[in-house]
Amino acid sequence: MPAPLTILLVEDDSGSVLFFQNAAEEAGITNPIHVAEDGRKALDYLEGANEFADREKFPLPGLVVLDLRLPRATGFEVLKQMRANPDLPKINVIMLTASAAEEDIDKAYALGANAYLVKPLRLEELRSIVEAIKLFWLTHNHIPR
Amino acid sequence: MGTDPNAYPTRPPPGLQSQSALIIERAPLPIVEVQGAAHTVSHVNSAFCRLVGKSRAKLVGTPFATIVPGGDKCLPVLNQVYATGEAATLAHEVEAETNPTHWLYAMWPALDANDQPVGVIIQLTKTGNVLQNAAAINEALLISGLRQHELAAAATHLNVQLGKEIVERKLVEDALQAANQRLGNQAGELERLVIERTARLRETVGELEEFSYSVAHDLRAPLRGMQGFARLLVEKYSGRLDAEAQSYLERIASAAARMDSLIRDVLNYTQVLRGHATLAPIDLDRLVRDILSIYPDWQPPRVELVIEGTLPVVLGHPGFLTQCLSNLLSNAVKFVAPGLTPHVRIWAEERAPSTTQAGWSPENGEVTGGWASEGPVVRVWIEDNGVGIAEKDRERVFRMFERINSPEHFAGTGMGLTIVRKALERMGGRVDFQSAAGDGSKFWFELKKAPAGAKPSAAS
Repeated sequence: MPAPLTILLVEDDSGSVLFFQNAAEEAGITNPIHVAEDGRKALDYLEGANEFADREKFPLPGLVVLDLRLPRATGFEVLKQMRANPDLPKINVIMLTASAAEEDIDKAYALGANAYLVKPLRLEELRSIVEAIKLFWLTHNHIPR
Repeated sequence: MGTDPNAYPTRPPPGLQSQSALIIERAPLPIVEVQGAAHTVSHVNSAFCRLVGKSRAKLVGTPFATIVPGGDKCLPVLNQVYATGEAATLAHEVEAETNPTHWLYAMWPALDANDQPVGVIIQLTKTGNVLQNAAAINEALLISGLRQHELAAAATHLNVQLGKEIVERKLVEDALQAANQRLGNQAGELERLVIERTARLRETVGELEEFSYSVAHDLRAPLRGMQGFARLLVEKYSGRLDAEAQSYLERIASAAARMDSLIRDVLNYTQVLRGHATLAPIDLDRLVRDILSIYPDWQPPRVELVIEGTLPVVLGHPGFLTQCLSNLLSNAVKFVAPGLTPHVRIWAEERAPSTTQAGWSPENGEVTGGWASEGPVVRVWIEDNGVGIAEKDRERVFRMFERINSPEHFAGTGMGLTIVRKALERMGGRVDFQSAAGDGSKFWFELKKAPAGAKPSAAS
């Protein structure tokens, strides 16, 4: 049985990070969750650059949960550079953002996002979303290796 | 010189001798009559005596050639007139001591009964001082020359004036042309300005949209924090919190939820402002009571608020209507004189649609439940005991960012009624008020009554 895939959560708001981790814990997700607090760090992690050069400690993620509004580089920029980098395998990206604007949704898919989720206000709703992520993206879905 | 038969009559009427003597005597011109081949003076008139300066006695009987200067020069012509009976003229110059004079002679024959010449009648003209005449002529010429000079000067002056006028006219023409040019340029400039402003406006609208998305993202993130942490507290520390602490946490969560829905409504509003508004039946009674329950400041004893009867189900947009009611109620409570308890009364009445009310415009979006322009209208009244609105401010209160009260007394953005009016327009309704300064306001808005049996949606 292959090692459980790593999740990279790109989120600048520490509260949101905590809620996601809480929801993941409640949902029984045991996959390692790495957090990048801005877009630049997310790209460094994905490219194994700078502090993230050690792939043992910072393994390439099998799933990226990506916010849109981020410091240093936006979610769109992260997505764009990920898809433009031929050295990176096709990694599933789930957008998790406050914006439900149609243009944001369209742009995210156009840039190669695999799913688009809107951050709910209530913790209970987030938990059900994270449960759905576990069931679909971490259990039933097959990803390219 | 020469003869002219028409100039002098050759045949005087009969009896002229005696009669002509009198006429000749009185003539102002010097005239003398000579007789015979020797041209002996037979008669002179007074003018002739004056001319030669001699008395009649001394002249008569003497030969003509001796009585006038250069008289011998006349003899050939005199002989000719005497011989032929033909009139003749003669002019000759006399070298006088001072000035030369010209003597002019007109001669015609004196005839007898048989038409035979017996003598010659001579009329003399001494064209006195030619030089003096010349001087006079010169003078006249000089005067005319001066006059001419004056005329020329005047003409020159006129020309200069005309030249100036032409220059001025040219300047005016140039100015006119420049003005026309500027006008043309200005038209172009205006057009350019309109294009530029439109572009800037679009940019601003774009920025505003971006701003509202920022608001959506940045304001809602802390709300999720409030919600989430309140939730975690309740879950993880429930055993250690008493009922009061738990209720406080619930209020944090519900306030955050309320704020979140408000932000969402504002966003919905700005979106629907540009797009389509879909109308649905809304339970107004429930909506108003829900809104009232959310604002602790609107509860007694701080505010006395009464809903009369049960408000009907109307056709509207839940977000818009929440916005309208929140703003109208907030105004009713807010604009009250200091120290006075706000009294607000809400009621609704059914009315026939106003003939002046515009029908539902299809561009506003689709309407559910087969709603049409016909059918009853619901007018909702919100009456307050506030500071009122002066008649002169009637239109201003609806204008964006217009505030008729001092911000020291009443806080606000000046957006409230603008949003209310726009939202009601978008729902095919309208809003207005009755008020007088210091006498409270009665705001009302009208919406279509929902068709009977329409199932109202959850409005809040």
